Amino acid sequence: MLTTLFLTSLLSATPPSAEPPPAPPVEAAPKAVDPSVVIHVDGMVCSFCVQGLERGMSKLSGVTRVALSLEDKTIALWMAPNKVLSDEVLEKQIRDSGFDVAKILRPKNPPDSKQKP
Amino acid sequence: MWKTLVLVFLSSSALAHPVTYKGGVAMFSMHRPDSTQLQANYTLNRHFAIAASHIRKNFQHDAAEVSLLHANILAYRRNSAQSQSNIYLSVGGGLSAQTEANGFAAIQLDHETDHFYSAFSGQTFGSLAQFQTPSDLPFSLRGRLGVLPFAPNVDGLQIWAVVQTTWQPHMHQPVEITPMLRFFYQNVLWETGVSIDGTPWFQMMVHL
Repeated sequence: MLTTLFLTSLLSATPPSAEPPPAPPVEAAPKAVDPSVVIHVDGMVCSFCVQGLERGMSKLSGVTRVALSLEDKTIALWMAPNKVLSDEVLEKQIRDSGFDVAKILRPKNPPDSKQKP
Repeated sequence: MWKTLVLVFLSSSALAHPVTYKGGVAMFSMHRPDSTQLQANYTLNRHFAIAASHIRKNFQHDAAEVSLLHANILAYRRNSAQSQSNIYLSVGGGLSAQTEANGFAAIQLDHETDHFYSAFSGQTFGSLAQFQTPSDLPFSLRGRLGVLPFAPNVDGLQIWAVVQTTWQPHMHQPVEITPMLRFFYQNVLWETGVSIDGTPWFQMMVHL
């Protein structure tokens, strides 16, 4: 009898629905926008190199953001919508700054920009 | 003559970053207890810059001063993935405070990586008459070695340890060795140290 009462009390304490309500969907963190162009530069070895390159690249038409990595020897460029800079323009700017281009990479689907034909 | 020798010694630091980037302006100053040097240069293209310098050296009873205009030439540059090597030439002329015409010529070789820096320079400075007989021209040689012990950080402060040795055979004290620290912060470089004989050194450069 006591066992029956104990089991009954346990069952009555159980909420009608044992499953917790579903958690609200978590919004995905905004994805960082990839740069439009990534340039690998030869000769970039000091802070002054970085400063000179950053100034030069910032002046190029359509560039909205420049990020340089002294560790990776790269320049990442973000372009305004529908703006594209040719390899020749990029190479000239970098050469005028005193450096050489090792390679230029363009993401296959750069956001808000057209691929070079 | 001995004042000229001192100016050769001082002018040897005028070669720091002789050519920067197209349209770049660099301001440079060097200070020792008895001397000051100021320089501004403007880079026309990746191979050529024009510069103006003024050097003053105080003596016990008077001072030697000279103003120079010079052309800085990047004669050779090798850029690789992890290093840069350069050969610079500099030639120029000017007037001393005694309105004596003077000439200046220099060569600098350097090699730099993220963590290692070396430079060697030779320079001569003298009156135009002395340039007629080059064997009479005073000269000085300078070598520098530097290391960056920590990872390079573009946005933060970089601190290099540098040893500079200057040899000027005509001087009373022909060799000067100066350990110093070189600080990089964004577009500013400054160096400070004390030579083994106790002479402090401070120089600063800003890329505008």
